[in-house]
Amino acid sequence: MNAVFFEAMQTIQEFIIYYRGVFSVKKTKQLFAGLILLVSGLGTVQAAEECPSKLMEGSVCLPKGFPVEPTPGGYTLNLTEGHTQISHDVYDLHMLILWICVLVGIGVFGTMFYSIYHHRKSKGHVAEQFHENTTVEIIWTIIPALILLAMAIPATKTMIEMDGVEESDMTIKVTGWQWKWEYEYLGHDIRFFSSLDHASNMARQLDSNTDPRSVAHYLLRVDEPLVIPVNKKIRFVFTAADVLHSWWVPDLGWKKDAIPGFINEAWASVDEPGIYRGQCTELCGRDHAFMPVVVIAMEQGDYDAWATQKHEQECKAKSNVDMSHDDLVAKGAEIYEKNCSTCHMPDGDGIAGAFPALRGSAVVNGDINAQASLVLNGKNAMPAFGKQLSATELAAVITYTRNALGNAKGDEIQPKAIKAKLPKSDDDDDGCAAKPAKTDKDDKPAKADVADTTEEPAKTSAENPGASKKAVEKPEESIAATKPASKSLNNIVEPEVIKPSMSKPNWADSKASSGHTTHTASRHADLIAAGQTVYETNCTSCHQKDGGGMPPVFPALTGSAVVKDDIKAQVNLVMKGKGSMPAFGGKLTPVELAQVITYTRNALGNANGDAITADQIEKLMHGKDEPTTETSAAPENLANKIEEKDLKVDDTKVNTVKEAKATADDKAAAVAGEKTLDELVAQGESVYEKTCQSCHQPEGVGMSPVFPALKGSAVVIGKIDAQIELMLKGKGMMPAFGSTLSAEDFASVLAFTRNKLNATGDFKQPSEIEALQSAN
Amino acid sequence: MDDALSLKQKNTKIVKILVVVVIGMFGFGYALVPLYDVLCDLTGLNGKAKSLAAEEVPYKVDMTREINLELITSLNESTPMEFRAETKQLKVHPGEYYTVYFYGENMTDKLLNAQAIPSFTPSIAAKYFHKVVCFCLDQQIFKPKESKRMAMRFAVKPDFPKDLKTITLSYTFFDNTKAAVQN
Amino acid sequence: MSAVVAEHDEHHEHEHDDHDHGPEKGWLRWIITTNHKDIGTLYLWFALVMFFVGGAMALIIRAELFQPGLSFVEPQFFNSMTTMHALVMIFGAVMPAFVGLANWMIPMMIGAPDMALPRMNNMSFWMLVAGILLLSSTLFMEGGAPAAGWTMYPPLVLQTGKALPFAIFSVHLLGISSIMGAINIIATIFNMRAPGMTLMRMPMFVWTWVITAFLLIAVMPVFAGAVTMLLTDKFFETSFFDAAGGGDPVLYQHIFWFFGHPEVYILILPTFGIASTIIPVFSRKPLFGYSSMVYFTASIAFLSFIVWAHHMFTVGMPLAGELYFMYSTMIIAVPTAGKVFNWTATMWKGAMTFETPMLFSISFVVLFTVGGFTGLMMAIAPSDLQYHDTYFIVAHFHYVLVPSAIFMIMAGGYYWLPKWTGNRYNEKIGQLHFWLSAISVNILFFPQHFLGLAGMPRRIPDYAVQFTDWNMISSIGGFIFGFSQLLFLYIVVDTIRGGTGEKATNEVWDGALQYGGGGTQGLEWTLPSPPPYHTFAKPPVIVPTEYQH
Repeated sequence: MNAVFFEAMQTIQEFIIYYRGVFSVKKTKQLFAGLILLVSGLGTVQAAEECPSKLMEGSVCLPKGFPVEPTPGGYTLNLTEGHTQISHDVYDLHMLILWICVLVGIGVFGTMFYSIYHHRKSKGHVAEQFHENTTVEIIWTIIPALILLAMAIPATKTMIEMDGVEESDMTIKVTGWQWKWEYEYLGHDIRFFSSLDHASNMARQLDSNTDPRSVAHYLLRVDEPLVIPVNKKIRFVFTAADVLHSWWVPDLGWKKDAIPGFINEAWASVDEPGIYRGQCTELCGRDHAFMPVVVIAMEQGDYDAWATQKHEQECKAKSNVDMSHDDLVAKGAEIYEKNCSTCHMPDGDGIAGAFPALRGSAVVNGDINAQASLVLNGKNAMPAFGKQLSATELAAVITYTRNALGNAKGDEIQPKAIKAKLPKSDDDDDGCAAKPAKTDKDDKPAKADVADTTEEPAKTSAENPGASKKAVEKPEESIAATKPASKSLNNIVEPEVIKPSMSKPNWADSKASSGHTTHTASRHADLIAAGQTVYETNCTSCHQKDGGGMPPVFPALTGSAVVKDDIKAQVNLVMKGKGSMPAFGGKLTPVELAQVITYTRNALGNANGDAITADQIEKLMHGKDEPTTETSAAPENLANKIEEKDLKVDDTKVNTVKEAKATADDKAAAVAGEKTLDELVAQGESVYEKTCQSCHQPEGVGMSPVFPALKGSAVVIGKIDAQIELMLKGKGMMPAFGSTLSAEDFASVLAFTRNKLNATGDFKQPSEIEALQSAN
Repeated sequence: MDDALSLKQKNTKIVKILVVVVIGMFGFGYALVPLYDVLCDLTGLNGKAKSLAAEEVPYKVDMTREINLELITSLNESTPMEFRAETKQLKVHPGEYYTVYFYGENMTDKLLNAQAIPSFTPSIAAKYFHKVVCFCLDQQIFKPKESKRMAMRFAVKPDFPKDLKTITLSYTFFDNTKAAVQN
Repeated sequence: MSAVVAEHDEHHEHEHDDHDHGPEKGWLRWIITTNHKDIGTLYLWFALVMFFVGGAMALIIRAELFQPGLSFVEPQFFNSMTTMHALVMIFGAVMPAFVGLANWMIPMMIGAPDMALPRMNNMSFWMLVAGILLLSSTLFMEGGAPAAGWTMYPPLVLQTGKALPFAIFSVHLLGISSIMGAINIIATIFNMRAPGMTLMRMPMFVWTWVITAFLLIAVMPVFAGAVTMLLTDKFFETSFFDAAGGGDPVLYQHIFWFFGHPEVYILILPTFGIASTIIPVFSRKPLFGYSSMVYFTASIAFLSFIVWAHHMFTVGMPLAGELYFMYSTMIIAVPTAGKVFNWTATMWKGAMTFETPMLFSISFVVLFTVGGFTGLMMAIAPSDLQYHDTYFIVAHFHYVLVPSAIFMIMAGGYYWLPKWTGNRYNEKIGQLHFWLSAISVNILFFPQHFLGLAGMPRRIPDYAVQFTDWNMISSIGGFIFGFSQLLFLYIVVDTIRGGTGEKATNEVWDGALQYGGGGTQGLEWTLPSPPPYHTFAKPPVIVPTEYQH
């Protein structure tokens, strides 16, 4: 009943504030305050309805009978005793030193005042003339030293106890922001911001007309309190996002600084349920006084219930349902007040010279997407709110600024639109599926590099079903296609032989249906799209994704003479290699070569408009040096021309491809028998020459500082598993060879680097590599 | 008093000495910067870690001990990135090498230069953490909207104090684009 | 055993003065003067003005904190006030006041005709004025005056608006000014003592100042370096304190407190010197344990260099660091307690009278000890994790600065005013000033202990309702204290204009000649009141007192 009464009183109080406001502040402020009241009022009623005990602290519904202490009275004299073992110890230490000081004080001041009273001239006392006494002086040097020693012992004990953060039950990461706290329950998928509660925030404004005494727990209440279980050792890890902050709850017995870039730790085990309040204690700018800390310690069961609910709430908030314009504005007002009004001021007027006004601002009245980007990513002193607010909150506040604060754009942005601009955070999928648990469930399968690269072609050729399917197939394809190819390295005829295992749909299909001539069937656009994938797998590590290269080591392809000039010469160069450029003739299939060469000539800032087909490449490979390039054709014409012969890719073809790949895998497995070290090393030499030498150089001397030497390399001499891992997954500019080398080649080159360039004496069998490859 | 020198000479002498002391102390203020780093290396003060790659030296792996390693990630205020550890917690044996991966993504359509800063608790752990590969050793350059998988390879030295069972390693990405452009 | 300065009879001195050179005529005298007495006067007046300026800022702070809710000022302006109040009081009021006293008294106490480097003396004063003007000008700049606290911790301080480079440059000027002052004082004390004025015969005020001067020379350049690093971090892309570039914001705190802790002793050691000068005179008894006082002072100064990180117990130092700084800080209590015991022993069995300087000195010993007790409590690292950055700290350092440093500067003022002006001040108003100050300073600062313990952080413009009562009491005390100081201004002006009308004798205070020096008589009391423009052109003959060592 009390709580209901309390709520009612609070509502009345807020209406009083509101009406006072009507008569005393500017019109925009009335509107603003009115909106706030409306929203927060609704919010409170709603929340209270869901809370069976009708007992709320911020957003947290307290269990029935929870000890809610009233605002403490004034005239408190002593240190708070607190509710943790450490705080008790600190309190005892404090009292011990205090009493020692009082006793020493009584002694010294007593002597002094006795002297002042008795040894005065007015009483006729005659001054004695002694002026030193070594014995006395030594005594009163030693006695304080002994007293200090007596103090140091318990102090040291407590200090050591505080330091023992080991064996904690859970960890909470606390991040200080100007001017709010962020709490993240590590491994529990709970993360939220905690800022000053609405009532205090309203009352604390310079012209608020609200008596802070009428606000419950003025300045010591937050919207989202930190909830912890009692009698559990909780480890706190502190950091800050902007400037120094310090996190202090007197009842826990300590404070700790939050430092940007660095972490600190401390621990607490609260022995009694209750609400414990504190503040930021390191000057952190304008609103340093307005970022309180509220910790609610609950019984384990209540805490679990809260954690589950909190977790669901966060998931719900992520679902981003569309909201009505009015709802967005109303919610936005609340968000604005909490996050923006400090700098842009409650009425949107900003602070001249420091924070721009939003009223009539070009950004706010301009393109909504541009504004959204700015709010999400920040600019100068404006923090990136994309990381602080949810999509819904962002949508609401952006809509609010455009439709209030003197602006009336009338438009809105929906949470979904914001969501699209936000990072795909890992909380999106994994955290929300299951209940929060003690253990870390974030061991998502590692995202392979190859998978990443497929995203872009998928986007660029979205309108072409054939191309996008190819892109999806790409990871398997590259494995299937390159394995056999690299097996017999110098065999130029190889593409013919391995054709059945080729997974490129138009290649395989064209072969089957209409022979060599159909190679030209690849559409120009298709070639380019597919070429990008090939380019990214094989060329980007040196020539870079944008074709900018890394001069002077790797020439730029953008505007390159080779790429611009005779296509035949370029094909030649790509196939045979030059300098540190490896010969791709044996590494790529004619189709892939056609794709990537066409790509380089029509993308990366080049626009030659010509193309080359797999047919022509094949002819070149066989020495029939008569490619008919199509340089004369304008891109549109070319596209039209190819269109006629275009082959449709359908699902059945994809299936065929998969089967073909499976066969290739079997073959590879059959070939990979047990090998001796010498065999592997011998075989590895040629693999090395083809695959590694262009960067790591003959003899493995590398090209400092870009490419590390393999001779004597820590990686190569180190654990073999680590080297395999690196070769499988790549690192920096080193491509991932997990899918581009066959198990046998992989094993042989591994053996070669370890036993020819170095002498570790160990190696792995192709079969072992095979297992690792498939595990990846 | 020394009569050989006039008062003026004596004053000049003392002023000279004191001016040298003043300049020396100004320099000492600056010398505190490297001294602090040395102190940090020696004591692991503030959990500051050396930013140099070490050679991968083989250690004797202590299979009897298991240390709980927590990896936490933060972004300094306006760094427009997505940044997380792929593995957030793992058990490690002192002396054994492990490779963990972090995921970083540039959220803007502009080039982004970002620097990851490591920090340890307990701070002493910095001294026993042997990193051979780390994305934090150099500035990471993200092309517009680029995402990266970044590796960190390390071992906890076998002489890691016996009484410690948890290491927390934090990486914070700072946006260095502005500074990089100016340089 | 009385004054033996035969050559210096008044008549002779005046004659000598007249045909030598007296002060310049007109206002130009105060600009170009190289006379230690003139410069001392300039310093003291400047400090008094700054005391009122800094005090006005304090009253803005106390007015805002009178009740919860923002009543008068913006939070950012409030932060500027706390920052500027500290900078003005430390660099504008207390330090210049000590330098002023040193200028006036050190040459007269050691029997020197003037400071060793008179022109530099003039320059350091005007550089101080320039520095403070520059600092004050930041109040009117876009983005406001510095608001990151006088400690100027990065990264917050780097968010300062246009004022940052000006504030840093003003700190440079103030630093150079005090370094020049310190060099001058050291040169004077080392080279210009009258024959027979050995080091161990120097008055305690001279002793404490020479140690202070060495502290200044050692740490002001370090501070200058620290703020220069801030400047280059902000404008020249260095990253001393920026984690992004491999720096560490905590490093600034280490460098700052390497300066900051000795700086605290720079503000208190001359205070000890004044107390050790006044207490014996009004007890009519030699200072107890002169040599141990010298050693205690020196050891406090030494220890101040190795305890700095006790200001940083919460930044997350390793356990060993916390323990080391806790122990070393606790050790400081030993020499400090020794000094308090010595002062008490000096009073013991004396024949005390209680004129205003003595009243201030006694309250200094008592209230400084209270500040020392809280200092000891804060040295205990685990407890400091509760006290740190709360009003408990505010109470502590105001106890060791206001009823200690400021009170003793005023005590020195009352003690030497009759000597400087030749007139006696109004003792009744002086005592009224004392009682008002001593009572109100406790109303002002004692409740702040309770506030801090109850959980009120420092540097906040608004607070939770439960802190209201003590804050109101504190503010009331603050206003009483602030306005009481106008009495001091009145007394100073009144005394210069003739005071009670009673002319001061050479000795002024009964016993000053005998007990007012160190191992000799108080030389300044051998001179006429007021002393002539030039004194001790010919060194006095030093006669040790019977209790000298």
